[in-house]
Amino acid sequence: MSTRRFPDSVIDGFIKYNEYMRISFHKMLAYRVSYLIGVITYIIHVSVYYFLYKALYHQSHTINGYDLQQMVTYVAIGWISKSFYLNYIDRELTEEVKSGHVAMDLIKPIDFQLMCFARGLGQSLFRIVLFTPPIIIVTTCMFPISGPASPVHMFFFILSTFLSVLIYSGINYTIGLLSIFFLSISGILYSKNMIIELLSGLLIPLDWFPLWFQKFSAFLPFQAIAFLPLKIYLGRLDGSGLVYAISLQFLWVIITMLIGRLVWKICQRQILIQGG
Amino acid sequence: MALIEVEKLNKVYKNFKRKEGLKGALVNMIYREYDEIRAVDDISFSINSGELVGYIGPNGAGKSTTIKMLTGILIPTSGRLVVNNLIPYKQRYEYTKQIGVVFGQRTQLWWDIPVIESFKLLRKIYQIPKDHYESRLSKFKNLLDLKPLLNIPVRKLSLGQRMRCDLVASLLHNPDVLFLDEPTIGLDIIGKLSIRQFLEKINNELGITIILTTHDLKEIEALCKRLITIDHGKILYDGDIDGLRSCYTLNRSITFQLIKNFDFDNLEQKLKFDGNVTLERLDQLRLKINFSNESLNPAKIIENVIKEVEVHDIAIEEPSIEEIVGRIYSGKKN
Repeated sequence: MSTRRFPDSVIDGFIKYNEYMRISFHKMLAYRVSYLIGVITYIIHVSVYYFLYKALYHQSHTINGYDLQQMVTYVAIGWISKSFYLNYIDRELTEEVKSGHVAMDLIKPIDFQLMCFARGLGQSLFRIVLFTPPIIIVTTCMFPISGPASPVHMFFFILSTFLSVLIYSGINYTIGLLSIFFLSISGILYSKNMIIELLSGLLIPLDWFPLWFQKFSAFLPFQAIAFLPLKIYLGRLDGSGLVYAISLQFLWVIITMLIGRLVWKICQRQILIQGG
Repeated sequence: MALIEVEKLNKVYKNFKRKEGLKGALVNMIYREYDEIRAVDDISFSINSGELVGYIGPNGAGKSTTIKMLTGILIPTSGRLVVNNLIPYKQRYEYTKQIGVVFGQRTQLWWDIPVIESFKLLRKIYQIPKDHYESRLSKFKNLLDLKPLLNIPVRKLSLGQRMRCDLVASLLHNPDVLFLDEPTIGLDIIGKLSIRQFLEKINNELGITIILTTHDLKEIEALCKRLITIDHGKILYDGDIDGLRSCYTLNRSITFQLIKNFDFDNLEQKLKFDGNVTLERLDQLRLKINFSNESLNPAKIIENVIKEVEVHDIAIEEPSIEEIVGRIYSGKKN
């Protein structure tokens, strides 16, 4: 009987997740209005922070080691990279569990986590091709933004931002899985977004916070999403500091993925397909 | 060894008991009570390769729960479950390659893309070699008349069309077992018939084992040699359909169309049968005799009637499978 089965190979295995990526990409294309609103929202965010910091810097030339130019760059690049690493796999997972459609994924020979990651990457791919460029163009025209500290820093910033996508996906996947326990987790998702915005350093650089808070956030994965890449871009990390930041990100990619797998294991006991 | 082995399988759900009212809601936030629901209660059966088994029961009987455990979606609370030497929930990844699943109420096709694109995707997910894929697709395409549907997005298909596409999707990777959970729910007669014929064909020709849940007993009667009925999580009957008939005392009847007007009272006097038999006059020319299948056979009754009166036509009414199953569901043996 087993002779009729088709064996797994690594390359074909990759292709199958690639397909999920492609589909996510196509799905994003279908929502044109939300695309346009998205672009505008990001520009509004950057503008608000620009004027906020401009008012703040009226008093002094530098605050906590950042001058206005650096601060504006921090905020703008922060939102530009967010426009790339963001995905909605948590929300999609919740909807799938609610509707019971998750059953249709479970009857296929796919790894559930890798499938969700592939979807996240598909969304990021869409964003880097179609969503991030207009935001880059508009913000660089509107605000005085500095370039990267050096070509080397630029290279590591890009690498680092790619790692952000994976960490963000890892966190989103794990949080999304909670819907299996709670069914309605819109509150959890909302507070997760707030926590990530704050603790990733997207809103305010983490070194503006009191020392105890900095130490606390250094033990969390969130700073690896925005704060570390931004420090690299601004040239605030060099040599060993840079290597440390990148390795820390790698570590968080692995840890968040492992936690996701563990939570999935627990969820499987709990899983209860809705309806029928 | 049997293809599917189920032994003392149990599934218990914990259901959160909600207290009523505002006070109850506040209490619920701190202290929760749970009800245990035995959706599947200690069931055992085995199914051999190539069988076509109907799995029936009223709503909430535990059918879908069983199917979900068999397909590896749900983990049983206890018991043994082996299909094709694999334990579905433990070896899910490997197992899913060997089974096809169709849930009548859901689709495994991608909503926004044309059907053929979904099929291509499934080819990649199941890693089906191109030649296998193409030969199977062209075969199914003809059997189910899919050609005009392939380039339409799934959301634009009618229910019957979608179901045909879903069936093909579940078979592209050449599964050994096909699980169908209410595959014809909501379909019209032609849709049902085409799916019924298709299932019969793949069971006969490709030897695919099929397990099917449905509420349509005509379908079971037409398709399945074996029937498993379940209610309140327990198996009530497991065997062939004729066996089911003989296991219950059922009322049958014969209606005679006579040539001439007849004297009912006189006839009633003359026709004396043993056991529980009643005569009934329907109109001037029609006589109905009700009897139960234990006491008499129809031939005997016909023989006796023909002796007394001239008969133009005879109609024997068999108990319908619906009647039998209705009896099982309501828990009455007689």
